[in-house]
Amino acid sequence: MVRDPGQRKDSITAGLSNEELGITLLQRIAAKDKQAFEQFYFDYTPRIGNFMMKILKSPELVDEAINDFMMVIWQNAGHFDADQGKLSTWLFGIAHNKALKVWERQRRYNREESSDQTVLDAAGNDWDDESAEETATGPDNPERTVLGWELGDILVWAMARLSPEHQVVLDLVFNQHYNYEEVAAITDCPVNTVKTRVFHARKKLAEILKKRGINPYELNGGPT
Amino acid sequence: MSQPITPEHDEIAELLPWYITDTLNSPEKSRVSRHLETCPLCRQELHLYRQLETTNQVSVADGSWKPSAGQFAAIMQGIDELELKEQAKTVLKKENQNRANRWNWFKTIPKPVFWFMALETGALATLMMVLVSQPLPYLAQPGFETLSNASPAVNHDLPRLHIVFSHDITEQEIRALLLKSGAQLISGPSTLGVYTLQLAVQDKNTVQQTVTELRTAPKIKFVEEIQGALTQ
Ligand SMILES: [Zn+2]
Repeated sequence: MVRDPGQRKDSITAGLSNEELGITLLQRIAAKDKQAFEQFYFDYTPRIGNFMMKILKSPELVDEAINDFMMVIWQNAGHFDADQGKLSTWLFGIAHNKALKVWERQRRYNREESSDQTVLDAAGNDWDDESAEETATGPDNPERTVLGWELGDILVWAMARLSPEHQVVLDLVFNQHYNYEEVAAITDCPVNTVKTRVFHARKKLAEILKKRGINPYELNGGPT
Repeated sequence: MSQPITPEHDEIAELLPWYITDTLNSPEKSRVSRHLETCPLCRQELHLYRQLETTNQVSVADGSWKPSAGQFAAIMQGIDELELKEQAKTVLKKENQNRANRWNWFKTIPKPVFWFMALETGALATLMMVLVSQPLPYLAQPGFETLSNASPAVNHDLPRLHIVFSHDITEQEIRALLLKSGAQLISGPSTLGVYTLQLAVQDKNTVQQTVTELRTAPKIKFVEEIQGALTQ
C-alpha cells in the first residue's frame, strides 16, 4: 500500500494551516489516538528523518533515532505549548536531541569496537578534524575528480566533510529556514553560539575547498 | 580587501546567513543592507552563503530516508508493551494497597479473638497463604505461556489482529480459539483490554476467513486486522 500523506486530511480539520493541523494532530495523540499517531508518523517523519540523516548518515541509525523520537511524541504530545514557539521548532528540537544521542551511542560503540579489533570506522562518523581529513584524502576521493564537478557537487562534497554539528546548523538555516532564535531553541544553545557556529561552519567549508585548490569566493562567478 | 575590520563588520557578518534566508527583523535587515554597500568582504561572504543555500535545497531532494509501515508497526508494538508494563505496575500497586488494607483489618481484631480464630479454625494460616500466593492478574507474562509460546516470536511479515474478549471467557475457551485459528497471543491486554494476535498464515483469503470466524465466535466482542502491519 502506498500512502500519500497529502490525502490523509480529516474533513474536520480541512482548511486549517499546517501549524494548526499539526497541533490538532498532537492533541489527538495526547489523548492516545493511535490513528492520529500513525498519520503523524507518515506526515512528519520524512522531513525529520532526512534532517537526522545529516547527523547520522545511515538509514539504519535514523530508524533507531526515529523510534526514540516517536516514543517521545507518544508520551509527551500533551507537553507541547504553542505559546513557547512553533510546532516544527519543538519537533526539530526533539529530533536533534534524539539523533545526537544515537550518534553518541554509535561513536562509543565504534570506539569499543576499534579498541578491541583495531579497526577504524571507515564510515567516518567520528568527525574530528583528523578523521575528516582522512576521509577527504582517502582513495575514493582523489582531489582531481573534485575539479571536474559541477558547483553543486563540489559544495555537497565539501559539506559532507563538515562535523555533524556544522552540517546540522547549515541545514537548519539554509534548508529549514529557521531564524537564529529558532536554531538556538532546536539545538539548545545560546543565540550567540548559533551565530558563531554558522560562521565557523562557513570558514571550515572555505578551508576544505581551498585545500582542494578551489577558491570558495569565486564559485559560480564570484560576488557581483 | 584591506579595509579595517570594524566591530560592526563582525556583527553583520554573523547575520548574513539569515539575511540570505530573509528571516531577520526589519531593523536588522536594513543594517545589513547598509553595511553591504560599503563592505566588499561581507559581499563576498554573502555570495558564498547564497551558494550554500542553493546547494542545500538541491541536496534535500534526495529523500534518503523514508518512513515505512513496518517501522510504524514495530513502534506500536513497543508502545503496546510499554502500556502493558505500566498497567502491570498499576495492578501491583493496587494489589499491595489491598494487602495492606487486609492486614490493617487483622490488626483491629482484639488479640484474644485473633488467637482464638487462628487456633480454632486455622483460618489465619490459610488466609496468609492466600495473601502471599495470590497471583497478580496481567503482571506475569507467564499467563500467556499457557496460551502461546513462552516468548512469542514477533514476525512483522505475518498478519496481526486486535481482539477483545468478553469478560466471561475462560482460559480454555481462549486456548481453543487460538488453536482453531492457528494464532498466538503476542501482546495485551492494552488499557482498553485489547490483545494482539499474530496469525500463522499470510494468504489474504485465509486471513479474511479467520477474521470472519472469530467475529462470529460467541465470546469475542471485537476483531480487526491491524492495517499497516503488512503494507510493505
Ligand atoms: Zn563587513
